[in-house]
Amino acid sequence: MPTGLSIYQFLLAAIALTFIVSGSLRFFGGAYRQTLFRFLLGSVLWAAVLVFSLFPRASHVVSQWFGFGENLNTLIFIGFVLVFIALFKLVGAVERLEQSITEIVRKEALRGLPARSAPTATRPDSGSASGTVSSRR
Amino acid sequence: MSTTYIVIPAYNEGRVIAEVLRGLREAGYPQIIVVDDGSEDATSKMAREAGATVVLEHFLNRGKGAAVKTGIEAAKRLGADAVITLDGDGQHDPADIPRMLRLLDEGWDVVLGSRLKASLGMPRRKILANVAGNVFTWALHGLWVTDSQSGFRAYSRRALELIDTRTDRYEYDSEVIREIRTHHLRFVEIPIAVIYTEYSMGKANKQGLKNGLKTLARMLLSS
Repeated sequence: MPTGLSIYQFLLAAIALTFIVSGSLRFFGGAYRQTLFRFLLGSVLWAAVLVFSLFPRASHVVSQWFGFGENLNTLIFIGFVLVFIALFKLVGAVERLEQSITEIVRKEALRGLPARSAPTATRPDSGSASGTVSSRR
Repeated sequence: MSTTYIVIPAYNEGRVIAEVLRGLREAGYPQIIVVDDGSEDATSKMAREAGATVVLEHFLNRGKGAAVKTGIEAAKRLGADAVITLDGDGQHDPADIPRMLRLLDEGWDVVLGSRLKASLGMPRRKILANVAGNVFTWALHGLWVTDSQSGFRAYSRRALELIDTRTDRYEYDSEVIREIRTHHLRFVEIPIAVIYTEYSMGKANKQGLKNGLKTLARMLLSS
């Protein structure tokens, strides 16, 4: 552990550690939607944050590996990766919301129809003048 | 097929939906489910007056895929043995339905109407867009069909029970292809006649280049 940690480094490390532990608990506890892919992605991401916060000079080593040369470039690159991951997660969340909205809309539209596998095409709304089963707003 | 339902997703089709229903009834298919996908015009009213068996209303516009799925769910609840889906803008010819039902009777699970098997008169940009859709569908879902975006299809009861889609908009059509492959459903493609009218070609919500790219993005995200 390096000596002379700044408060920001300490905070970042603590946040990263919290996410790694909570992600592991959710995955091994079989939490809903916590797939292996999500678990690994999250773990790698937060482990990187943990390492870079405790050992800032590690970014220099990474720069050499990737041939970026400058630490700043590496950080910008990592920033792009983080933004991409955040965007990916956001799109996923929006998609799930959209599906939930559709389910609600569908449920409302189908209200008044018989339950599954009814034998014939019955008309629950027999009072309809036009002979039409209508699900209204 | 003893109980066949026609499912029509409709969004702002008030001008033509009555005509579509009249054509189907005259062709001998009176069991029609219209799903009004949050239209701002009188689509529901017109469909009801034209004698649709069931008119369902989405209180929000959720897209073609969502509307078809709602209609299919209704048909299943009403005990359908087979379902035909077709567009609400009058571009599909009811004269193709008997052949589709005959193929279902012969044991096919899904019959796909293909515009590209009889593309005479089809606008060139539509052909190009369809081919692009087919290529992406094949790349993502591993099954080659000649018209992955066709809305004119027939499903057996078995197919209706197995196919489970999640997407709401035009990517739905490709998702069905994925489901056919996943469940090893027996499918066949037949050429269909398409009636391109000024109305159907001019609709703002049709698959233009922008919508096509959006569909592609959604296909990628949902695959």
